[in-house]
Amino acid sequence: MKAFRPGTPHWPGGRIGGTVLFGIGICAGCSLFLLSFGSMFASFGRLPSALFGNAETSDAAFVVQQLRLPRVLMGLLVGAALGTAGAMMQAITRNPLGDPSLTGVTGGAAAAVVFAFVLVGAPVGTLLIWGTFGGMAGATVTFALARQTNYSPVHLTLAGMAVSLFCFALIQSFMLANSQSLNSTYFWLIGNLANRTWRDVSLVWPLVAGGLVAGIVFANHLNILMFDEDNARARGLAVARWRLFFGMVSVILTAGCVATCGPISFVGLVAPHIARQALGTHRAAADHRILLPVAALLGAAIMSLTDTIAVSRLLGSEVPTGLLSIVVGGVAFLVLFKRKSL
Amino acid sequence: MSARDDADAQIGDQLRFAVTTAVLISCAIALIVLSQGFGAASASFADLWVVLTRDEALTPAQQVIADIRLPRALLGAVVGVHFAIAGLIMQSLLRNPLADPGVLGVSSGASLAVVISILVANTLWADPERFELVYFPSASIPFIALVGGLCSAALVLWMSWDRGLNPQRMALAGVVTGTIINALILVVIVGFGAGRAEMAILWLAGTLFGRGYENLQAMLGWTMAALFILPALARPLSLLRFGEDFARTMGLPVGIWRVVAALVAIGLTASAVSAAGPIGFVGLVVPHIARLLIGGNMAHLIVVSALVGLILTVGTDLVGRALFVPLEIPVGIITSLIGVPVFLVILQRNLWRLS
Amino acid sequence: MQGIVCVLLAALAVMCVPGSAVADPYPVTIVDDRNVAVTIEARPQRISSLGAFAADMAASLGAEPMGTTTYNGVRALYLGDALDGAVDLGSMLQPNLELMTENRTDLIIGMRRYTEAHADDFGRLAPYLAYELLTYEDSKRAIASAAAAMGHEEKGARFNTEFEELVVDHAAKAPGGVSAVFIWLWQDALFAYYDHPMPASFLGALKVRNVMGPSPNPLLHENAGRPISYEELLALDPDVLMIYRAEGNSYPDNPALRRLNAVRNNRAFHVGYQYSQPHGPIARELVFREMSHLFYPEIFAKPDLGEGIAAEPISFEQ
Repeated sequence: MKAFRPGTPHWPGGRIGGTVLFGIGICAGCSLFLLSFGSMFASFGRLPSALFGNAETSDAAFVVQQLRLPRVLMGLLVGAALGTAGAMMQAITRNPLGDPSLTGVTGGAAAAVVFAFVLVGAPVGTLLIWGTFGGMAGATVTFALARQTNYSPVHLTLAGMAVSLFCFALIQSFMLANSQSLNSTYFWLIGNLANRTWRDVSLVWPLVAGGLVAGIVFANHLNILMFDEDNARARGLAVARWRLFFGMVSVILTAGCVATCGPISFVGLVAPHIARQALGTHRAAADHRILLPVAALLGAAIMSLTDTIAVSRLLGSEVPTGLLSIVVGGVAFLVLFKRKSL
Repeated sequence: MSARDDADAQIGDQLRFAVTTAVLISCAIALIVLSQGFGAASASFADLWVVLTRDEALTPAQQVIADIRLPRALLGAVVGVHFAIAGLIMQSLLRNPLADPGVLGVSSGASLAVVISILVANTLWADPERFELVYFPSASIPFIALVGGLCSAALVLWMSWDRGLNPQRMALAGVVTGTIINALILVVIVGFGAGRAEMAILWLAGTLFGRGYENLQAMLGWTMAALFILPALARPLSLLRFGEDFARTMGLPVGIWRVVAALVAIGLTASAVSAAGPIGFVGLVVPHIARLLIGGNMAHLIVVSALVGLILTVGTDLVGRALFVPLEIPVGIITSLIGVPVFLVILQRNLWRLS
Repeated sequence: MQGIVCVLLAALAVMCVPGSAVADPYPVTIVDDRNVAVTIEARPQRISSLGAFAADMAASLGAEPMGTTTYNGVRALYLGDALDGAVDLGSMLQPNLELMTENRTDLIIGMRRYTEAHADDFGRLAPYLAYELLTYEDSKRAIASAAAAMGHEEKGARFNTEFEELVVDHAAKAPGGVSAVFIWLWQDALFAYYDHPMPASFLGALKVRNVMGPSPNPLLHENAGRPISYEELLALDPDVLMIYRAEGNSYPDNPALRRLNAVRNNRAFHVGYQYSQPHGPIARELVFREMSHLFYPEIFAKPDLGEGIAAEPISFEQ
């Protein structure tokens, strides 16, 4: 893959600026739409008064401030988290297919969360912890398996799929153990941004902020990790330790998303690739100081765009967001796969 | 290695194969007999004897054996053979120890087709006035599954085609296609499931509950066809395992045999999926166990894989229905839960050497 | 199990005594909801109830089913002692065929959409009747038909007319002016029911407005409802919330819930098992009487139901 050539930092103003503007434009447009339209009221005109109104007395203000705003923010945060997690995973594994849902992280987190809410009856607030441990377990097994082949794309993905399939079998047995929960679990497994609250936002935003900052601050190490291992070692980098560090960061980011919104697939895979395409063959595409934020921004744009389509009833009625991101992300991935010689 | 050592080794292999096969056949028979004695109802082996030998009015216990346990064990046996041989063919064909009907997206494609035929057909064509549900006749389900399996296989083939077929790329394309199709299955169930979502979910887990002779009948044609072709497939498959070029220098028309082998594998998978749902990991694990038992002779592997697949499926189904009476654990869940760890161990020991 | 059910059962048992003296109607041929004609040769003694309906039916005729399926290992609590001797047949989706065979079941009655797929297996064992069981019409049809299958055709008709009288009576007394909705909690997602499925269909009879209204696609009979968002629920703001929930799951914590009028006024209720399978004669009456009370507490007395059976108010305070 051409885009995986490391390079020294360089700022191609126009291209980055255009991509960032494009991403921000989509995020802003979709957010505006999502904030303005719903069953309580549906007009751009009423948004300002509702946004700054008193939520105690006005239903419109309550709906915008307590229901629509957290949903919009969750869409942006989850997209950003998955975009960042995907970009990191692709860097540390030097694998264009690195993605939380293809490396067992999403599966592991989902199995743990389903176990917690179906069988333990765990309060919603603790699901993040369950998800983190599950995601770590899934990732550990996957990476342990792929380690001997130095995380070659094929072996990593195949091992990740084996782990995911195992996790799905686990989820099925949890569901059968509490058959009353069959429907709700299946609905949850699609992934959904509806019904998010400020508590979810307060759980996820520190993760995203921390992950992005850590990623940008230590982007140099990510850049070096994308060289082959010997080269990185020659540069005096503790390869294993930094891999572990970035791996943990992406696992925690993913777990936060799964625990709050369910397993949303493919966004983490597609966002970094679109970012690279947008940045072109320029060296910025391989510099994680630029790539990480752009991938995060585009991930946020993808999530809010799919959420807007989901809410807009273009498809008849409101559909779960995850359903659209599966279809959109899946097709994007197929195209990507067909075009690249991996 | 001298010619004499070679001959010795061959005789050794033959001997090992003969002994292994004999042991496995006795295990399989013993297991099927054993499976008749366990379950929610109390029926003894004496009842089995009566069922097998006498043609008279049956007691309830004997009925349990004749109508439920025996057909179920036999169907489990045939389904296990199908998945195991399909897995073996795919692994040899793609030269990839991770290949499996499930991993390659064939099971997913077949499942999607069946789920659509069950759920969507009813939504589209049911006449609510007459309280009649639209079902496809059960004999047509294997063909629907086959069409689904073929479509997803074609998609995998198209995706992985990159100036020729690279086995690794193909495996990867299969994995990804499988993931996307599984997502589509989720979409269909949530969108069209209405009151039937639970049943579709159970079916997707892979279960032998309530299956019997009619499913066996629908499958047997496929089994026979495969048995007919398999002896001819042994040589091409064993050559293909060493790579296309090698097979070609040995005078093998590679293209034709690849298509035939793939068709046999897909047919075996689709018919088994239509009877019992996508029972996971049997096709993946069994060929590895067979290789550990008797080494690499393809003809031997086919026989031993079939037997191991049979034992695994019948055994796990027995556990699934006898462990938590009166509840049943679908056999597919147990094969996945057992299959993955076993598979991971095998992976650690073999994958990196084999590939 | 006290109160109303005991009275009901006792009354029914008394009625059954002269009933059994009536000439044996068998063989009986029943056309079930699959449109299949099923012939029952003799009075069934060992009924398998796949779901709660047939167990309810048998109990109201003073009999005991041979076995019933359970939900997560729990049988229909509202039927009380009536099921004490019944065999646990496991899950409705995969009822244990071996136990049904071993216990020589002679009549199998199940909810159509969950059991029809295995009609051949059941048919081998005994006559198998499948009922649709979604709307009030389904309930009336199934009760009449199942009563005939159990040899009490006239009682089935009487259950229906008596219940219809109760409905008419309550409808006359109900002042109206109340709105409500039935909701299944899917974790923190809300699945709300349209007008046609029972017991939401009783809302209309009680002059209660179902805020969800009729199904937009009445041809899709089985689409009993749809997921709705908290915003939509808040916009609809019903006076009473009737909530189903999977046992063991925790309650959602969404600020919109505490803003709902129903929750503020302590009129959000977690309803019992009988609401999810309300089509039998006993469940139907329990549900209807309790609903009448919950909507109009000053007019209809509170039925005397035990713990775990009666509806409980939920405050959604964590």
